[in-house]
Amino acid sequence: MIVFKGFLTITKRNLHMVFLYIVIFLTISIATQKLLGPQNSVSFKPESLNITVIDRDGGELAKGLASYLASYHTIKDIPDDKSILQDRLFYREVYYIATIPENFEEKCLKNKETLPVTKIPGGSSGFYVDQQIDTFLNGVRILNAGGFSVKDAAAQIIKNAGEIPDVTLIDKTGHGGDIPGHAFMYQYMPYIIISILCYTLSYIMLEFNRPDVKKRMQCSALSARTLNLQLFLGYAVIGLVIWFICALMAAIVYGKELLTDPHLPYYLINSFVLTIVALAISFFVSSFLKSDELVSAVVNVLTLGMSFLCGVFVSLEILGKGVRTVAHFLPVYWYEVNNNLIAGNRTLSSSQMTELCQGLIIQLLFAAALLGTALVFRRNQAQSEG
Amino acid sequence: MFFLFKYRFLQTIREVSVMFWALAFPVILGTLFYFSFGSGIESTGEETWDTVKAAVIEEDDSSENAEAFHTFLKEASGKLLKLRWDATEAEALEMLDDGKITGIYYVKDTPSLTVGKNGLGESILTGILDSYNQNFALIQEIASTHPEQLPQAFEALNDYRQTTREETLGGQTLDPNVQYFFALIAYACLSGAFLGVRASFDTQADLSPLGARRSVTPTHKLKLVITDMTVLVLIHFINILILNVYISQVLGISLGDDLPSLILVDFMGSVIGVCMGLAFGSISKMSLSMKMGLSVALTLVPGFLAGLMFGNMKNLIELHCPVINRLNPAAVLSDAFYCLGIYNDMERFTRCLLILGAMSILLFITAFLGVRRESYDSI
Repeated sequence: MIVFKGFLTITKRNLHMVFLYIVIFLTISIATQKLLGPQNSVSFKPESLNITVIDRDGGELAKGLASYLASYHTIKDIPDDKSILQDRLFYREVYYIATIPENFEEKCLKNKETLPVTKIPGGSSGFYVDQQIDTFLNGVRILNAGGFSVKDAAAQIIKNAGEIPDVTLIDKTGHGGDIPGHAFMYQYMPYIIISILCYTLSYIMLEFNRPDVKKRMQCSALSARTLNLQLFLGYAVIGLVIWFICALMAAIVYGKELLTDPHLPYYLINSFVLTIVALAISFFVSSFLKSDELVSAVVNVLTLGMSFLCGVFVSLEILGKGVRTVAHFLPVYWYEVNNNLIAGNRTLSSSQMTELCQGLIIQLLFAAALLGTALVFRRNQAQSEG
Repeated sequence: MFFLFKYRFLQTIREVSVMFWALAFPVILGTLFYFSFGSGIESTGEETWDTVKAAVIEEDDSSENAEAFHTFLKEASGKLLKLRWDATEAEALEMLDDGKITGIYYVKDTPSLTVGKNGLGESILTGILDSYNQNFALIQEIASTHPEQLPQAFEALNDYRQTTREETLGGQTLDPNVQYFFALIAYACLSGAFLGVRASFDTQADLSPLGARRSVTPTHKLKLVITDMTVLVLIHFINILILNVYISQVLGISLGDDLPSLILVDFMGSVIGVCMGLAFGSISKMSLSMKMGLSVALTLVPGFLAGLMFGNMKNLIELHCPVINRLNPAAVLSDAFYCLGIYNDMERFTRCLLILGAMSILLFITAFLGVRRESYDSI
């Protein structure tokens, strides 16, 4: 077990660095959870925002639009002065500014002109204001075509505004129809686990890949297979520790809510399989990396890129079909599919169980493929160097 | 001085793999961003969202409203909405539970919808029901007061329009996802820190043979640090410019029309990134891998706080602890981009640049103080 021991010795020597990465990524993870939380990340419910309507027209339609929006949002009265508007937007005192131009009625109802709006980037709430304006202006146009005056039409739409459609929510998730908070934490766990493992293992493997060390190992009596097996064992130890720390973190942040969730074993199994994938990715990456400076660039591209494509930061639902098709070829996608499945259902039916197992198996296949490629590469390299 | 500059430059660009990745990594990330949500309409948005599946249960189709809703659903069914008409209520509920459908519409006098959770598909279904209700109320109103105008009203109804367009305060139209690209450029600027840390190794005698060689020269340390900085800023600045050209020309994401100001922000960003690395590299005595690790923290954490991963982050910080946004170089950079691209606010833009300038000078002085008058034991 000399290689395994050597691996652990090097790890021990680099322990401060391992801790550093754990601290960096756990901080990011906890900050995300505390500041954004599941509700803030992507909201599917229209919220009440602070908005401003700049009325340069003053007509009935403009006034109607302002009072229609006031029934959903808080209207902040801000003078029509660019520098003041800039100031309020900059400090997030208003999130949305609709500027009603002169001759609004003619421009909008007859000439098909659109209404200029300015939003603060980030968050999806501005989208709902757009929709509300669409509803109002189209409604007025329809009533107007139907013989109503603009003033009466606006009043009619405002009257209808309060009516809520009859929607019944069957609590399918077991958390009031919402995705539980810990599921959100598990959603971006791939970023945390893959980052920590890729960074730390890449640096550890750099020591093993040094030409002299490598040659020394190659001329020993140890067969390549034993050598690799011992390396894998070393990887497994680190992977287990990191997985355990991440699972522990989720348990500490969510406590009882997570521990009493009947799906806890599924979350754990899914993230465990992901850890195996992450180890395979690290092994793959570290086979190619030759110098310290490259580690961060390569790992960054890999982790951030995969996270964006596979629905780690932006939920899978929102990603377009095209992206999702590409993401099928990445292991993290299957992790996220599983995570959504676990989070979105209080009980899993037999077909959903099969789906879950499929997801796990596909992840394992990815891990095997990455591992195989890396081993072939290492062997070829060893032969060409020899 | 020119001599120093020339050889430092050659030495830096000859590390091909480092140069390649310094440029390639933001470019690759930008491309991935583009595919994830970049072009607004093409990758995210209604056109490419999956079809939402729902079942329809006809509870009571005798009333006028129920009949109208039935017809409405028949017409609404298409690319975005796929309806199943053949299921019984029990079957539909089972499909809902199994996740095969997103919701169940009930055709009756007051049309209703049943969903299993809160999500995108569910809010699309709710939106469809809501718009039906609203339009039905409108048409009913017209039918009772001006029945002769109904054909015109239906014509207007079929011509449903998008009525808003996103603009900057200055009046240019805006790509809604441009914020992610601003955050990416800001992050790419800060990654100059890696180059800076790497270069600081070559000024310290205890860390590298080249550092030892440079330490014994009679050249003033300030000269050495200035050379390092100029070379790195130049290289990094060119990389960032290439990234800008790539984002605006190849990916087609508009970064605003004010080219000189944009280049100025890019330049200040490159300076702060490199200075951060140089300062950090000079003051701390650690191994290269440890320093690289801390550089990850130094670049990734500010990037995270400025909204690189979750777009809403910076807004929340502005509300709860605005001072972080004033001190975080990534946030100041992305604010400068916002001022340029969204607020059209030159006053605040200048202030952002001044903050960056002041930080860079401070960091540069730190870098110099870190290596000046350093002496080593003779062993």
